[in-house]
Amino acid sequence: MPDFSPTEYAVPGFVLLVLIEMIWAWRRRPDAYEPRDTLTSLAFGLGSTVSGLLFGGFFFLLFLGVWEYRLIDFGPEWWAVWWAWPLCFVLDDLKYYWVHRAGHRIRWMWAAHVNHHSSQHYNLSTALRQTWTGPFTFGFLFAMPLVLLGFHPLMIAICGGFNLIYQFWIHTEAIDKMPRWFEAVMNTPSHHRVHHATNPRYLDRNYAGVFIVWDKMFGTFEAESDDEKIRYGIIKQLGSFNLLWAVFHEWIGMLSDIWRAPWKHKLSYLLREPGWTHDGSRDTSDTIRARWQERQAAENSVASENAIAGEQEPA
Amino acid sequence: MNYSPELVQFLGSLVAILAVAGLAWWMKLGGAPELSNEKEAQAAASEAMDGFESVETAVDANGRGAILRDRSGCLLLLKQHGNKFAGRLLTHSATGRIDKDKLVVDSGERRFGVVALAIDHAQSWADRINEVRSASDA
Ligand SMILES: [Zn+2]
Ligand SMILES: [Zn+2]
Repeated sequence: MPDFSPTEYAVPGFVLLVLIEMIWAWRRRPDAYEPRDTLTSLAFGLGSTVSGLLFGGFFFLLFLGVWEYRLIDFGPEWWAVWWAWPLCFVLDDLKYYWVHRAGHRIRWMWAAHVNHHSSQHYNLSTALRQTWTGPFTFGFLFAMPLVLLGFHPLMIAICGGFNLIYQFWIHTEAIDKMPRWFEAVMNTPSHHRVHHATNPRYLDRNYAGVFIVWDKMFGTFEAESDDEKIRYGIIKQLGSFNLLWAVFHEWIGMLSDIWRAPWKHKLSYLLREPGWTHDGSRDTSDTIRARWQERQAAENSVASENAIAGEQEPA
Repeated sequence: MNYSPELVQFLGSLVAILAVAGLAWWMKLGGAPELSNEKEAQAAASEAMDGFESVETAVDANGRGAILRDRSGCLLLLKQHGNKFAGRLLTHSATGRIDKDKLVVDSGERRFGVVALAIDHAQSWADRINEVRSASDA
């Protein structure tokens, strides 16, 4: 059985590319990096490998147990079935889309995934900002269909590793747009900038890992617009570089909400979207988007009234 | 002595990330943006809180922060965070006081912290912040 972890081999490449992007920033966009932010993001990356080391084995054994009940048997030399690899990669990317979507729409999952988004910067170091607390969510359940289909857990892990490696390079502002055919099929820096944006029009969009087609298929795609400056991060920016706070703030917030909530609402604070409250006292991405759309509509109607009044304004 | 390969790898990585962050600092990446006028503060405010329309703005004399009020009386505090700005709508847990002619705003959130602003009419801003507090205490 092959034993191979692609992300481990990629780390020196990650470091090299971060250094190259830092030189780009130094020459053209010094504001693209902030040393304390970079340190926090890199510490997230290191901590997440420790978390993976501590909990990864448990989930691997769990998957191996479930694999015993597989529908399709690829045989004892499952790794030699060449076509299973690209198939597994594509299906794993579909799985990633849904885990990631859940990561933004279910607060329990968001408590872990928010870590990846809590930087106000968007550079290659942001890509390494990976969660420590993923094992405490139910994200692993999303892989079960793949295991039950018959893909060996190791094959899934390797495909997932390459998926993560792919996602590294798209965390940059140094690349504007890729060729059109590429932008149409693949996740790119442009598409993923949208995903990290807090601008209302961009909230909860572009969940893709490698293939952007999933977003187009499931109605969550939004193209990057050239005339809107992107702001990165989360709705309520942390305003702190404290690493442990950055790791646990949403867990603390969620648990204290659950603690204080009336019994019949407790579960909703765990399973509903981030920002949901039983008394509507906070914003969710949906309420923010709705308010923004209202404002846009009001501005447009003023603009069209002006146009009717004879002011020659281009539409 | 015998160290586990995991520990060696961890310590090596730790040194590497400190080196990379140190390099970013040495290259003087980042910088400290300043809010030089009300317009810039209003732009930063509407970014921090989408759609926030200020009717009154007080910008820190050093450009490190600002406090703004909208038509409905909501107060938004902006502070420099790294080379960006972060903001909070002030709630009843916020307090305002005057210290050496500066308005000192405690956001009420420990990690967001306390922001000192050198602004005109500091006392009336402090009063407003504390009004939010007493209004919801009633
Ligand atoms: Zn995300
Ligand atoms: Zn990302």
